[in-house]
Amino acid sequence: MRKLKFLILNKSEQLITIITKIINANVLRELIDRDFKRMIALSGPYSELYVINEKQLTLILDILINTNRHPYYAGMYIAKINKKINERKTIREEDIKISLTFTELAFTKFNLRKSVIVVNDWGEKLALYGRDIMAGSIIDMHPPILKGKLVIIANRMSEFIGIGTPLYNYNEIIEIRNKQPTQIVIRNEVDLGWYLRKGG
Amino acid sequence: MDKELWHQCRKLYLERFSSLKYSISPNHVRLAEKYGYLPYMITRYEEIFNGELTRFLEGNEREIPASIRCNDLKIPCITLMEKLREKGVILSPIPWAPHGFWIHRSPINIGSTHEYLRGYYQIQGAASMLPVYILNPKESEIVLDAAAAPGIKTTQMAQLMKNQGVIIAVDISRKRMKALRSNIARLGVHNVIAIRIDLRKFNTSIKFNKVLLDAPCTGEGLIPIKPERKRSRTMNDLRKLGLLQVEMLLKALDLVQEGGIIVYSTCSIAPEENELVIDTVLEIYKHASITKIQSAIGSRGLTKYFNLEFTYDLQYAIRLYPYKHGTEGFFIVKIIKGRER
Repeated sequence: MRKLKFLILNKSEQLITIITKIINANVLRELIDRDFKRMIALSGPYSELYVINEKQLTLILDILINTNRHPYYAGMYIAKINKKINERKTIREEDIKISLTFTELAFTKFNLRKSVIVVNDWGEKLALYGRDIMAGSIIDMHPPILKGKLVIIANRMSEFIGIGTPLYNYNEIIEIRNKQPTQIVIRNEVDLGWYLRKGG
Repeated sequence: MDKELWHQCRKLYLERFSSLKYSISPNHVRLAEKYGYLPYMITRYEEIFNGELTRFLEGNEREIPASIRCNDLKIPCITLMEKLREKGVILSPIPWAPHGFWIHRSPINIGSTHEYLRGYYQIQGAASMLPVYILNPKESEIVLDAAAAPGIKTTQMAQLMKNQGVIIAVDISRKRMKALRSNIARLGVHNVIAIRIDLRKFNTSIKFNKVLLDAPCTGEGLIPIKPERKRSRTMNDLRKLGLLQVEMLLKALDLVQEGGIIVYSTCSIAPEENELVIDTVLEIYKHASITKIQSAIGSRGLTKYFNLEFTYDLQYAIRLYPYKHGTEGFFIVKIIKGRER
């Protein structure tokens, strides 16, 4: 049999803790306890973290044994992970890039309202084209907004747009908004426009 | 898959394919020139449509309205309708597709709205929604989408299954798998395991409750949308694809459980890819039969084509035509495994 290309993770708890820290909410733990039960990583060209349920795991194992193929996608895609995490003792936040799917779910189904910035129509349009967020486009912020940490970008209708990284802290952004509204304050990491630009 | 069965089916398909007796008349050549087809296609269409040939050809010259499938995993369809109407989109429900809407006019590109990006809907041909409704996958079932990419019908199945159960989505194309993955993510689907593999090499001890085989085809039903198909396919393409379809259907029969359902469909109106495939496989594989489709739309399947006669049960298959049903051309048949004929 070909070397296993997916792993049932031995660092699940650490991963859950880090992801909880990144998005400021216990969504992943809840998802696993309530719906999915299992967390797997698919590696190969990608190294990706998924949550699946027991039935899905049984089927994946069956297919692996009989067809020698690892899945291309399974259950819910949570994050892209650094392949080297299994070689290291501790996992760092930089090892994990949270997916659009998971963040959107956290915002819409789990009503996550921490680390959220709300943008006006113009800001929304630009964000969906993959552009960064200018201070003047921001109409509301749900703290904590911390430099270098993940924020969710939403529109004025409370609809999810994407994920960004603040280049400044909360108070600095407020100050910049008043003085230099065209200055970029949030780097757009990934937005829903990705599905058109790169999704295929 | 039983190799002996495959060899028998292959032999029978090729015998019957090459025995097809048709001749191209000067009138066929004239019509082919007038409408831009290869003459062999007109000859075959005359056999299928008889007195309605000109209506069929004229129908292929008309545009088919775009259609979308509302994704009620993410939004109630009534809310989506209101949102699109606010943007000036003129739409109406497709009577025979519970989540389908015709787009009559739209001031915006329907493939790049915010609602589309949020996964509130999927652009999908109206006829191509039918196979999944006919398969009717349930929340508790394990279902195979045997030629899944780019995942349009996979995500429709997930919707009917309320994101429960499991869908194994198999496809061979690397490029199209990328699109499948993107569609699954955008539409908020969580019950899919996607495997990139040639269906014919897919082995598992799982016996599926249901299988959707939306087989690769010439796309002869898509002429109103892709007029280049009038001249881009030959009889040789039909033969090659027919053999592939036979092999895939045999594999699907192998993978489905006793009493399980297979829905076979193509976006082609060519009998060589539809009735001839089904009739050949069921002639050799005796342990399955065609079952009646309850559908508010569609014409009957063919039971005769030139010198070939097919099983009477093929009348229970359905065919959709642009000129008659206002959709892309489509063929759908429902097969049940385990009912001896």
